[in-house]
Amino acid sequence: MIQIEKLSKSYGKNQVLLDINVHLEQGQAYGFVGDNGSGKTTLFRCIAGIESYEGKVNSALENIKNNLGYLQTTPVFMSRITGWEYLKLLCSARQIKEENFEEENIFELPLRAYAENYSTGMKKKLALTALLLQRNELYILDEPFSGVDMHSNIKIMNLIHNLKTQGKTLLISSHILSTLTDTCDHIYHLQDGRLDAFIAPE
Amino acid sequence: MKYYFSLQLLRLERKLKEVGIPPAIGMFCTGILFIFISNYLFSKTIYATIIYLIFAFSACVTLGQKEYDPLLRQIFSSKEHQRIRLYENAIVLLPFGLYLLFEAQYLAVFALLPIGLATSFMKPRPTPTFVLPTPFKKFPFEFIVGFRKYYWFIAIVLLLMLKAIQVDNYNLALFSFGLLFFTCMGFFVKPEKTYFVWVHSRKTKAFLLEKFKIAFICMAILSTIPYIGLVFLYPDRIFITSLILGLGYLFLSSIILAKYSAFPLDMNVPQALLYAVSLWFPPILLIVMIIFYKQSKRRLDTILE
Repeated sequence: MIQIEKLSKSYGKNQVLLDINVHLEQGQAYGFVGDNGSGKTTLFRCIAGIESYEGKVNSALENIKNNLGYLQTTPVFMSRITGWEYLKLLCSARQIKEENFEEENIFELPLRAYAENYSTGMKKKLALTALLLQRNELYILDEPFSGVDMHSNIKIMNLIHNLKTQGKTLLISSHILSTLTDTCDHIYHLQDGRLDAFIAPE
Repeated sequence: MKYYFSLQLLRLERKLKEVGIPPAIGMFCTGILFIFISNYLFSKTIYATIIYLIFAFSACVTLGQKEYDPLLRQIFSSKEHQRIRLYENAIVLLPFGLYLLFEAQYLAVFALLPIGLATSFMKPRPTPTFVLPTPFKKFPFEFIVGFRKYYWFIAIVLLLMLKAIQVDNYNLALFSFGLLFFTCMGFFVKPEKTYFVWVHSRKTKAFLLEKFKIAFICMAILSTIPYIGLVFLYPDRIFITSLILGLGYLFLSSIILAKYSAFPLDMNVPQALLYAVSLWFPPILLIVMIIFYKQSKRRLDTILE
């Protein structure tokens, strides 16, 4: 589905990613582990097209960006926007005319309240709900389990399994290895800018 | 506390250097610009003193709402924090006071004192839990955010227009009508986070057209009734009222282009100056809009295409 070839990224003299080669198959989940600052988020941002890079990201999809749901480590919210309005914004950005968000509110969030007043975990759940509403083909979930309560973590893991069965492709990073071994088909280890290890989940 | 103010000066210098202006020249030009705008205001309207005081008040309130105020409250004692706020207000109000002295508006100079004092006690407003309803629910996001932040100012502008109509002062009513557009233009000054542009599946041209469409619909929601009111009550002035309406929409389009011309950064100084000149002399606005469109396209293409 997506072929990443010789992807490199540097900020000035600081080489963050070096010759990354990965082949991503449809309906599979790929986990990425690595120390803080190892380049996981940069790799995700490059695939998403938010960062410029050297190398190639080839895809069977006509446009990766328009089929990609990107959950950021710390989702950004505008001030004085309710949860409902945030969902509407992200749907209208993809020209989806969905408005019945109460039915799709899987995390039971208070959609009529300002999103910026949500807790860290609630913000992440709202951002994830928006991505699910967009019906993407590819999902990049950067630290989806951090800051989220245990009950919701289980829900997120179930969601990942559901998305896989629907044929969606997922890229997930996490510092909790067990969440990746439970959800991912392949796990990559990113160190010093290289994908230098491959761990097969049990 | 002294270190805090020297840090603020350092931050200002760095900001100016970032946009390529030597700090000394930047500060000098800001002073000249302030005098020029003040002079223009006082030469154009008899309500200049009131407008000037409103600006001074807004500047002090804005200063008190800065993001890092909670941090200041943590690291300084409440007495020191209060003194910082007083000094900050004094620095901001000084140029206003000097110009009012120049204009011999002595009463207004004295009015600055309670403004500076009262606003120094203001605490940053936390985001209220009460969600203010807006008429723009289906049109995220600039008007929704802007309306919720400045609804009180919009109310003042509309009340001023009503009062002007009541005393049969067409010029003031027209000024208020223009101010309504000017206020809404302010909703588009600050660029959003890149993510909120990246997430769109539209190409640049379609993205900008969508922005125009939403802005026009929202502006129409706010301005149609005042416009009809003015046309109905002053039918002989329909041309000038419609001209302001048309210019308002043109300026609204131009601020959208101006915002994205530097995206994801704030407008730089040359762009801001170019925009200020076009506000002052609208005939060049069309040329400026073409320039801003080309710059916006270049900026947005890297994110959207």
